[in-house]
Amino acid sequence: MGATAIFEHCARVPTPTHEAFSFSHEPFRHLRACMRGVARALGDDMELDDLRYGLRSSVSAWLTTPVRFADLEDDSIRALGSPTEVRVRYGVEVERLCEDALDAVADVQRFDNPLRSSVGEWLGLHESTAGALVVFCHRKSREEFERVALEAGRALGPGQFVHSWSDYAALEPTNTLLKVGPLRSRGWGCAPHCIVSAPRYETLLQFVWEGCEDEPHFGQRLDRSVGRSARKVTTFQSPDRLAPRTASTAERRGSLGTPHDDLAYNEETTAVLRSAILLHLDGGLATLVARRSQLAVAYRDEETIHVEQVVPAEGLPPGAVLVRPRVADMDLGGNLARDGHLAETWRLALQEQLRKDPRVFIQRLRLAGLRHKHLESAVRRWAEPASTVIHAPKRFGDFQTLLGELGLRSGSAPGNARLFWPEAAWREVRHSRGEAVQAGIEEHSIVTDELLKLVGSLLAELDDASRWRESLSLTLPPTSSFSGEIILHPILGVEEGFRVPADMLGVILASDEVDEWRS
Amino acid sequence: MGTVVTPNFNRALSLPAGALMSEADSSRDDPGNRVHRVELAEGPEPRQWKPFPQWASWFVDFGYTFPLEDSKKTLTIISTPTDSAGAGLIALGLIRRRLEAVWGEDAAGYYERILRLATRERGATLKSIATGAIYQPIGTDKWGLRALCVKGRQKEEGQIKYVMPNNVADWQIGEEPPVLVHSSRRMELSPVMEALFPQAQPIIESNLARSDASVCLVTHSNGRSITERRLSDFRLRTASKETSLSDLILPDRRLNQVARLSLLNPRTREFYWRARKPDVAVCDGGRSFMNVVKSRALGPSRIIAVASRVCSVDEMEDLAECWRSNEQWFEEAELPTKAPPPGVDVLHLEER
Repeated sequence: MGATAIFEHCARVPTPTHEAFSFSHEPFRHLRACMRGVARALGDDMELDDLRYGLRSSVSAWLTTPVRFADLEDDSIRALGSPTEVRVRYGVEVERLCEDALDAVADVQRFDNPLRSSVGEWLGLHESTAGALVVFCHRKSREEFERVALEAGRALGPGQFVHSWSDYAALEPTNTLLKVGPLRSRGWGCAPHCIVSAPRYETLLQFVWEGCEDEPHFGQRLDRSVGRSARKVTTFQSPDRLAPRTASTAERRGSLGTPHDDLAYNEETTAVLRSAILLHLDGGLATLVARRSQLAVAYRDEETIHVEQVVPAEGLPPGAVLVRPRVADMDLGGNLARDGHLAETWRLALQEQLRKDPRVFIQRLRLAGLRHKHLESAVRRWAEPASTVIHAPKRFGDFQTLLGELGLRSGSAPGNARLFWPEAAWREVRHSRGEAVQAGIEEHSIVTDELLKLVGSLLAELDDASRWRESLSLTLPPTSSFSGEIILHPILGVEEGFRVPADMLGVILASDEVDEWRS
Repeated sequence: MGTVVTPNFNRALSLPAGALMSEADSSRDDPGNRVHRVELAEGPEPRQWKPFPQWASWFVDFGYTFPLEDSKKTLTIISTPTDSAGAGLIALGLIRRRLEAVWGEDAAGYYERILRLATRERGATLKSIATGAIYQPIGTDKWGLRALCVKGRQKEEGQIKYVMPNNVADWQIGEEPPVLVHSSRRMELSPVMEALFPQAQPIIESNLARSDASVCLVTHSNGRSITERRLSDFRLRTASKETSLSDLILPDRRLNQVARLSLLNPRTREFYWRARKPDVAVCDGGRSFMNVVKSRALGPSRIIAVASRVCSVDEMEDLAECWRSNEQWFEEAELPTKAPPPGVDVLHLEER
């Protein structure tokens, strides 16, 4: 598709229509309030981040997907444990709130989702425009939209979904763009501003829950005149019959007050996250880097090899390879065990547990406080042999719990009486993820210049250019002032739009583990 | 933004004898001529040819009529609803305008540049255009700049030659395009170029044989190849000739052609070949603009950016922030250009 098609569309449809449908449903509003209450009552203990994230993401998904109320899952509430466990761990108040939230889920499950019905109704009524409709949604919401469309007697093909600004860039002008949820540039269900500032549709159809307002001036950053004139908002309040109230709910809760913006609340509670860029690496790995950080990369420009520091937000040179030093002398503790030595011990113990009775072991981990939504698959990944990284939990607390259940929590590290076993093993994991280098800011800058020169000379000796296409480990020569190795990861792609806790920046992870930080 | 102003096609120019009169001159009174005479195809084969579109026409005119006379530094962002070859089209308009200018070349002051280079830069080399031999400057005396041949045919090595004002055009600095070529090797004026500017002033013939670094194209921040692909996928044809935008504006350096454009890498802030500071730089993308807006490589040049609004939120926020931070030194101003096509917005700042 050439640029002319887009410019011609802009000339043909200078002012696209924006129709917004707003929905209210009291039991659902109560459920949202209960979920919010549980998340708040858990406090701000970092150990409980995963639980809070689970609660928040459930509500966010309900608000941005035409979910069937009967299918609403209460996993995120039950993940806190049985009522007794909740009382013992978090107190009576949290137990009561959890009970309320479970009741609220059961209450809502008895109704039809008015938003879903309206989306289906619209799809059924406008069947003739099949092929000219595009849905903007989160990747994980796609199946739900496909189900709604099928129920309405219409099939949505893969080309009718847009999930990011890069998908939107490849979108041909269409008749209607459908979006569930508010127009916001950050947080769950966010949308690229170009949806408004560079419209490629005739009608933007928006289905939104009450309380979730659009971001003021969404899509109007630089494009003042273009964004301002492009919208005609028609808002419909769903009729009362679509939001039936049960007497019991009304009696128990009383007035619920003004509708609450849960998406904004979720965004506020994750405000400590930093804006990041995702680098897709070779071998199914990925890393998130701060947009304005310095990143060591190597690339070829014709026959010349360049090794330099670049700022990811300013663009990476084509064919760039991420340079990751694993230099033993730079480790801050100075007590680094041989790479993978301790990891081998706990991994074998983990594999043994999974061989014996995986269900019992997973249950034990859950009881010990590991609250991953897909715990079993995560544990199986940790048991896999290390590639260029050691697979392990993302946080030290979870790692300690895992080692505790493996019976490896106590005792000193081999060769260092001052360091406990879990700490030494965690250091090994961090080191494999490239964190040791980032930790020492001053040493980092001094060493990097020297290292970059060294990497340049090592790469110049590589006669086969094709070796650049896959991850590569180069051992530093004994004549250099460092001992260790340099790992090179080809950068396969760059994706913007992530917000991540500072301690996860620069960590090498499996690429499917980064989805939760997509903003 | 977007004030409708009649393009100033009648700027007073004292044209020297020998100014070219092209076939396009005969049709100057027909303003819609370009659309009918040039066809465009975008993307790879099979090509679908269409009349030259209005949006592309606006970009070409924007470059051609962009005010260069005022010495004030300006910043311009043209935001578009999609990625496009807009930056290349603006550069084309600017190049065409420079071909009409009496001093639209780099030969003036070239000798002084060579002298400065020889005295300030260690390891600088000069290339003899006639023989291809490489010379190293070794000092100056009353005859001019002395240069020692360090690489050439056997009998040339060790020879000393003088670079003087009257033979300076025989010398090329390092890998720079030649500042002047023999008239037999001058740049070919494509019929497509002529058809694209039916109302323009005639060009000055001698400019076709001289390099000019007044216009600079700042390539895409993700690599020069992205800009080059955009330009080469933008195919243009008239009844007699088919070419690409890339062929029209980028020099073929293998043929040692003169260059009417310099290229800047926004990431390294270095020119792809050595060039003087440009008068106007056109950036392919908002990120390129952000990378070079404070760069010393561009000095006081006017900077124009063609930025697609279809980009990440972070990139747009950065661009907006960059624009806002410049507003303290610059003030909003009107541009004497035609109203932009639908979906295009122009922001323009002028130094206070």
